[in-house]
Amino acid sequence: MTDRRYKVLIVEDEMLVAMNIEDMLTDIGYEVAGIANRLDAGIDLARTANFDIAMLDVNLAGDLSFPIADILEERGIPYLFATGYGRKGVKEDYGAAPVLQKPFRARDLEEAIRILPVQ
Amino acid sequence: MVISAQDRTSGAPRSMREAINQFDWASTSLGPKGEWPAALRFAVDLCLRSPLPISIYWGPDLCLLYNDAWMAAAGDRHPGALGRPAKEVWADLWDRFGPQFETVWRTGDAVSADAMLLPVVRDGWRSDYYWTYALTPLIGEDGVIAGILSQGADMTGAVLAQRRLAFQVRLADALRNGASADAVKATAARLLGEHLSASRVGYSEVDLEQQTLSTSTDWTRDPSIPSLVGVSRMLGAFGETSHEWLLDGQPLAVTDHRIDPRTADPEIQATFDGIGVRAMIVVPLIGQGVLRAILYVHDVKPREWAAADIEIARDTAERTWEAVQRAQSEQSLRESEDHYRHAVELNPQVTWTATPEGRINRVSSRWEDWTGTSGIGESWSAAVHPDDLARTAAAWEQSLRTSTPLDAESRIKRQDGTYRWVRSRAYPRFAADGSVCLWYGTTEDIHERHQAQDHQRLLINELNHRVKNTLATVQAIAFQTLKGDISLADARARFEARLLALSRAHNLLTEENWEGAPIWRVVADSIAHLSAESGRFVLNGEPMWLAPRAALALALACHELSTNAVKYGALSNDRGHVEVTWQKRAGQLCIEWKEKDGPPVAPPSERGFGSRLIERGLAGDLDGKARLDFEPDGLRCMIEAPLSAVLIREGQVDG
Repeated sequence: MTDRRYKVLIVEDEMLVAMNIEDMLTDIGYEVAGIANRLDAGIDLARTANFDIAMLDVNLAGDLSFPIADILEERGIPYLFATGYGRKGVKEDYGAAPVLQKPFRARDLEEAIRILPVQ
Repeated sequence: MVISAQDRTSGAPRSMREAINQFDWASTSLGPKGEWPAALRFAVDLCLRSPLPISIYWGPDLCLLYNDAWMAAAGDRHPGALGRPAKEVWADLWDRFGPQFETVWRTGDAVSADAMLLPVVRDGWRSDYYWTYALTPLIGEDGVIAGILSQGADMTGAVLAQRRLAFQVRLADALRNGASADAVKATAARLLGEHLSASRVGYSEVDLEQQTLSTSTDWTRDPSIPSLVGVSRMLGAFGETSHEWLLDGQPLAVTDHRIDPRTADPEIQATFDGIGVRAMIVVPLIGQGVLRAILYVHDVKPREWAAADIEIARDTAERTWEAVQRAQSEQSLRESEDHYRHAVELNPQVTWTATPEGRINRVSSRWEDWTGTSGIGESWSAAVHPDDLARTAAAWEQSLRTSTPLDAESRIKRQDGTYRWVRSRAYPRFAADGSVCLWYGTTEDIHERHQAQDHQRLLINELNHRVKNTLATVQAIAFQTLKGDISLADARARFEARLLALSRAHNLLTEENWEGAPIWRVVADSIAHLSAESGRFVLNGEPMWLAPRAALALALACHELSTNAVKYGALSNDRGHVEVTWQKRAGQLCIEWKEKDGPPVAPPSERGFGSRLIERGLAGDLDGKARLDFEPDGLRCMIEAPLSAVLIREGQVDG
C-alpha cells in the first residue's frame, strides 16, 4: 500500500452486498468513491467520478456491465469483476481483468485488487 | 379306350361272322345271304377278316354290315345297326354323313374325313370319339357302284393328346404372367372348364381352424349354373369316405353321385343336388401333409370321366396351386417391400446406407425434403454447417476405420436457409467373414432437444448465479450482524432471524415463480414471525405487485423495523401498535411505517445495521429514498420509490 488511499467505484446491484464490499474495502485500506447499482448510474459515475479502481458486478438488474468496462478501458482505469457467474460470466474481450467469484473473502478481494496496475 | 366285345346275353353270337351268318337277311333289302352277289360276298369276307374297324353299306338303302373291330367301337349302336339302312343307323348324324354317302354314290369317288367327332353312347353313357375314315365305292359286276366300304381309325387318343397339349400350353402361359393369386385361380378354372366342357370349375380353400371349405374363385359354363363363390361348407359335408379319400391326396371322380357308393348318404346327395351337380372330379391339394385346398370340376349331368380328364384336372390343380403359392409369395414380397418403403419414407428420421468405404449410397427422400440435396456420395457434406463439418467427418472416418457405431451431432442447413441440429447414428452390418458389408444409418432432427439442453444449461448457469448472489447476500448479513461489540448469543439470534426473513421472502417469490410479489404479502410475511403481536399491526394500502428485488429489500427492511419495534419501539410495551400504509403519489410508491403508543422514543446514539440497511440498502435497491425519524411518539419510516422501478403490475392480488 502507498500512503494514498485509493478510491474505488463499486458497481453492484445488490445494495446489501455493495455495503458489505464497502466495509471490506474500508477494512483493507481503500476508500469508496461511490456505489452504482444500475447500468446507467454506473456509466455516469465511470465517466465523471474521480476514482482509481472499479469493481464491477456483471449483471446489473438484467443489464450487463461491459459498457462500463469499455469506458474504464478508455480512461485507463483498472477494474475487476465480481460476479456470481465466475470467469464464465465475463466476455473473453475482458479476459485481462481479474474476476472474483461471489461470494468472496475480504482476503480474496485484497489479493485481486492489489495486483491492479493503479496509475 | 377300354372297349370290350364281350357277349351281352348268353347264347349270343361270339363274333360278327357268326352274327352275320345267323342274321335273317331275307327280311332286308340284301335278300337271303345265299343269293348275295359275289362282289358283296367278297367285300364282307374281306371286312370280317380285317382287324381294323370296317363296315359295308350295300345297296341303294346302304344296308349296314360290319366287323368285330367296328362293333367294338360302335357302343350301343350294336347290335341294332346290323342289316339296317345307314340313314336309320346314323339318324342322329345324318346331316353330316348323308351328304358324304350321297357324294360317293353319285360320283363314284372316295370321300375321306379327318378326326371327325363321333359321339358314342355305351351303356347309356355318351363319350366323344374322333375318327379318321374313308368311304370307298364298291363296284358291282355290272361296273356300277353297288355299295360303300367304310374304313376308319380311332384318332381320339391323338386328338385328346393334342388338345391336352394345347390346353397345357395355354395354362402355362396363363400361370406364368405374374398375375395375382385370384387371377391365376380364375384363369385356370376357366381354361380347365372349357377344356373339359364342364359345367363348373372352381377352387376352394380349406380353413383348418374352422374346418370349412370356401370357394374363392369359380368358372361356370353359362349363367344358368350358379357360382359357388362365397359358399362355405364344413369339410365333412361331402361324406366321410370322400373326405378321407381327399385327405389321402387322391382325386375323387364321381360319375353320378346318386349311384356312387362313396356319396350314397342322402344328406350328401342333397348337398350335391343343392348345387346342381351330378358328376364331379375333386382334386385335393396337400401342403405340408395337410389338406389346403381343392379344385373341383362339376357337371350338371352324369358323366363318365376319362382317365385323361382326371389326370388333367389333377395336373391343373397342382400347377395352379404352385402358381397361387408363387403369386402369394410375390404378393407378400411386394407387401414387404411396400412396408419397407413406407417405413423408410414415413420415418421422421432420415434413413441411409453407406458402403464399407463410407460412401453414402442410399438416402431416404426426407433428406432431400430437408436440405434440397440428395445426400448421396459426398453431397451430404454440403448441407453440414461449416463449423461442424470437420468434427463430423472425423467421427465418420473413425467409425469406418474401427468398424464401430457412429454417433455424431451436427447442424445441417435446411432448404429455407436455417440450421437445425441433427444426430446421425450408423451401425455396421458384418458379412460372414467379419468384414463390414454395409452401414445402416439414421439422421434425426434433435433441434428442439438441443435447444432444450442449451436452455437447461442457461438455467443452471442462472441458478448458479442466483445461488452465488444469495450467498453473497447471506455473507453480507453475517458480516454486518457480527460487526461491532455484540455477544455471540445475540449475534447468532439476530443472524438466524435475518436469515429466516430472507428465506421467507424467497418462499414468497418462489410461490410467484420469481415474477414478483404482492406488497401486502411482503409486509405481512415479514412480521409474521411476531405472531403474538400480529394484532398490533394495522396494514393499509392498495393492491400492488413489487418486482422481486424490491420485494426482497422491503421484506428485509420490515424485518429490521419489526424487530426494533419489539425491542425498543411500540411493541415493547402492552399498548403500542404499528401502522403500515402505502399509496401511490406523483409517480412514487410511498410506504410509511409509523409506531404509536409505545414508550417515549429517543434517537439511538449510533446507527446499527437496521438503520444502514433501510437508509442505504433499501433506498438503493428501490432507487428511492428511505428515512428514519425517531419521533417522540413513535418511530416513523418513510420510504419513497419511483413506481416504474418497483412495480411490475397493479391490481387485485389473487391467492
